[in-house]
Amino acid sequence: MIVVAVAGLLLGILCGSLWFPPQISAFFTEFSGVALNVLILAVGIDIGQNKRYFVQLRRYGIRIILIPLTTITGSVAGGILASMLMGKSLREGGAVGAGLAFYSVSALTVNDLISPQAGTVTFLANVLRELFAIILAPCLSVYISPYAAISAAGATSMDTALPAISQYVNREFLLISVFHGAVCTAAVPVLLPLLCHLLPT
Amino acid sequence: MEIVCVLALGILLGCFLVPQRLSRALHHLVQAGIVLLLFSMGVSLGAGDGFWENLKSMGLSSLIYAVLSTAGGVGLVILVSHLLPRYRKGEKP
Repeated sequence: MIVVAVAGLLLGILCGSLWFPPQISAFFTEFSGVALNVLILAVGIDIGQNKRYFVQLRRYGIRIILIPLTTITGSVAGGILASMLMGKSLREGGAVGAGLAFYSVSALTVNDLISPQAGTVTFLANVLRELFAIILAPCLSVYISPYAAISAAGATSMDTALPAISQYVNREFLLISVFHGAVCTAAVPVLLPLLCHLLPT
Repeated sequence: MEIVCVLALGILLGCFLVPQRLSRALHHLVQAGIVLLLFSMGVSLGAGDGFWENLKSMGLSSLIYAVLSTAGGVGLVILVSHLLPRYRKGEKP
């Protein structure tokens, strides 16, 4: 599955940059939105057919909030560590990490608050994170932990990465994944400007 | 928001309309859909302005950021997961 997924992605990049005329590329951009909705509908049906997992989720209680909170904290810390290793500003590192794979909003915010170059890095880094999350979902879920697959996906654990995660984990984790993605999605527009103001340049 | 509505619609359909025997077909549909989604994302990325130039000049630093921020989140979640309800490794319904 991983090989097919990577091949599909690379073929798409080559088609988009070398072979497809702009109209066809625009069609695929539109199409990805429709495909995502169909996938999410299928995941929803899968969850609905197994109602008992809603009950199992009660075991988590308030502790469920720990999962998105640790993802956010760890991602920001990872981004700051990366900036220290590369000799870049801590502000850029914190901001890129706080993007949580929500590349559209994070890249635009960083573009405005730091610089266009940092905005481009934020875009690429968060697109890569989303792609890693989709492609590595099988390995992370099965060999490390379903929580690892959910955390890697950041904000996309409720949308683009959800179908990939759904193939390899107990359905109980899908509800956690949706909750995790919703908290991360809500956190990005609040946390990112805050970090840009608090962290040193 | 749209995603949440579609997901809720799917859950309702799964609860009341779609029979369990279709779950294998749904599994195959999702697998094919993931590859198609990645292909479409690739096309959008490749068709974006200056994709290769940006990748050449900022690709490595973006990759380091992506790897370390993902690893940071994953590492911390694994540490904290000991406080969460136990599950069987590789558990699959």
